[in-house]
Amino acid sequence: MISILKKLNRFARRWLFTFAGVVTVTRFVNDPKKAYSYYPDLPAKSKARVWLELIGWLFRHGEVNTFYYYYGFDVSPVDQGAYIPYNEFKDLRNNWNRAIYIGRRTTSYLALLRDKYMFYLLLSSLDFPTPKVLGLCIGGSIDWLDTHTTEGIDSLMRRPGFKAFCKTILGESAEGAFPLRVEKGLLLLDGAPVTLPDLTRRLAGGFIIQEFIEQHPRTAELYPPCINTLRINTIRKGNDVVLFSSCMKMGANGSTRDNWASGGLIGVIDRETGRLMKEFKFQPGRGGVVTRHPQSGVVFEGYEIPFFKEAVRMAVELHSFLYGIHSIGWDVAITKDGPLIIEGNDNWVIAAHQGVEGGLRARFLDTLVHGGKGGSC
Amino acid sequence: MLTILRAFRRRLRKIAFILAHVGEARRMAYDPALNVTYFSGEELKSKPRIFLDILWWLVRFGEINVYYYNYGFDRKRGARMEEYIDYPNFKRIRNMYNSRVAIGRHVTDYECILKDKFVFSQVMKTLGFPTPEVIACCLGDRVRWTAPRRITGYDELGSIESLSAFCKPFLGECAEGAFRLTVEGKRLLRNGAEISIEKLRLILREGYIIQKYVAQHPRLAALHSHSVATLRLVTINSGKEIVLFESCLKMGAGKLIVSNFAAGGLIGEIDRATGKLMRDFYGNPTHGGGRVQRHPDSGIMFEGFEVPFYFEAVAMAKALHRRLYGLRSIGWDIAIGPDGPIIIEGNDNWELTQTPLTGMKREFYRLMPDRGIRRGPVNILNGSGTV
Repeated sequence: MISILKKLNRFARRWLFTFAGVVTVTRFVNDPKKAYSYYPDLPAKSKARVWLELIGWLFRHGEVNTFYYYYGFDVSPVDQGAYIPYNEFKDLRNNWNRAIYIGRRTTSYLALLRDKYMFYLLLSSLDFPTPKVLGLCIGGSIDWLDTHTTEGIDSLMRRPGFKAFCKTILGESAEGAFPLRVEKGLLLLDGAPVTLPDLTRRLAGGFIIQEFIEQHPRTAELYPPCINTLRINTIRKGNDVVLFSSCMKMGANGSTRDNWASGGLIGVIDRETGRLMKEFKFQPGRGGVVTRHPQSGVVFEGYEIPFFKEAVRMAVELHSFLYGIHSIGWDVAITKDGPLIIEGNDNWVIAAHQGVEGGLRARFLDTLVHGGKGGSC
Repeated sequence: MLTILRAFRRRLRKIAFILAHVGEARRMAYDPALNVTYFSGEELKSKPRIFLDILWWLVRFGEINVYYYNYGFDRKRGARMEEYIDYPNFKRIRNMYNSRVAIGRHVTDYECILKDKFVFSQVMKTLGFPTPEVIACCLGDRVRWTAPRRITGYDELGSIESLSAFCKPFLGECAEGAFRLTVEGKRLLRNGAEISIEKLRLILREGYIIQKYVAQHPRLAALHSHSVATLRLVTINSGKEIVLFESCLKMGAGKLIVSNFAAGGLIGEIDRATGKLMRDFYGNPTHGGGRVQRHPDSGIMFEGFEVPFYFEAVAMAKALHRRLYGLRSIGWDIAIGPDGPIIIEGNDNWELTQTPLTGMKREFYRLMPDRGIRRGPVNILNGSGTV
């Protein structure tokens, strides 16, 4: 009885969503801020054709494809079946990442990536290079890792010349992160003075205090105001960890973050040569395609990323130690001394990669292989 | 509609469970193999009274209280049943606080830090707490060595000249699947018997850590030399401070190489004011039970036996729990080495050790108030949870 009611509930919801989706698709196609071509020089499909294709996608996959223009479906005869829909990808990614069996027991390992402090503890123990965590701020006090003491927030004032980056413990896409400095007895948050009570309020959400890093001059040249990072996706295929895709993320238009979702650019790094490919793209609604950086003017095609091969090797090796997670999107900074693992993401997004690399459906589904007896998952 | 039906289904299931287990309750009261008292010298309740007690517990909490005799409920005077927490509610509340926590608007589950022995040991290493070193973890066809960090096949195990280690499954509980591994001049010995590298590979590839063996303090080794006696300390984050909730000592007996109560070991309380053992130690009912005042092998009297470095161990457990802010309650296994306490592991799914001395219901509910069923994650910052 309950299962029949549940099924009915699901069925009704799905159809309700689909009909509401028709309205959303119509609005989407008529919104000039979202419905613009990434390739304005190429002949485009008519609005009616675009609408019909989006409706077809909605009925087939149960989602409004907001990446329609980003994927370039509006201009060329692209094989849309080669692209994996976001909902299908999300379900597969989450199901494979959420829990694995080792023997007859299972657990979820996601906290190791999601909690930046735990991530740091694990990487440090294995001697993987990662920015040092100087303190942990939780419950109105700071646990200083160098002195092994717990002190109030005001203890920052007793560290003249202190310079660090504060990040929320479980934050995503750099949300809530800010640089913090102590200069001439003043606390500077993002360069502006802040009072101790205001800082205490800001830190109340649970933060790690992480050392500043300096990136390699070659990656700084692309866009100096932020740390431009490599996004390396690795996936466990059977018992092996393999490179899935490698991209470069960089900030743009005054942003101090390199995240694609925060207005940054993303483009492919050729995995054979370690050089950037020609085109970089903004997120839908934030811009189109560029072949040189809008601020620094650097031409992307052929631009060599230092330590690229080392970064890929490191990500693959580190993933081997994180055997409990199927696929990970690594953010890797490049410093003068080599790659530095900033963070790993279990909830990485494939859309950004499909937009610059083409459809990744087959490549992704190909990795969904069980390790067999004795293997994980 | 769905909610009402679900509540109705829950009720029906509970009634069905009770009806299905009345026979078991009867057996617990009347079957001489199950009706084994821990207090033979004391005045005991009649069998019908015991049956009614067990039945009442079953109706109230939906469980057969297998610890009825262990708690000493069969005595006419002694333990008061209302001071003891039932297992279904205990388990629900413990898991609710430990399984999903929120920091800000994000939610995660920190149990893997404790559940996975490799992860736990690596976290301990960076935090600087003493713990047995994990030299490698094995899964599938790869051995992942920690220092120096490298990934190899199993052949490398055969090139080790000498090793005294303990192999444990990554996610194992109650010492299941654990064994001693020693290497003497390239001979591999599993629990003392020679084993080929190929046979060892077949075991280890299921997911094992290789952990250096811990030498225990001579005072504890004197109790039972085959196993490493461990303190079982339970700490709970009350929201304001880390509170010591339970304090016991577990030790092996007979030929056991582990100290786990569930595996047939003995457990008894440590006086938290003096750090000395209490008089009585208990065996698990599923392994024959029993209450003893001296160790069955070494003959050492428990009462007044001083546990070395006890207070240091308590301080260490509290300090470490503060760093593991994502877990509300942790059951620590701490060995005592010649130089001080060594953290063996932490358990999110720790079990209550309510001995006849202590019913812990009130204290448990004070530290972890019941938030009912189907509530959201515990927020560790805003007061709906800890810290």
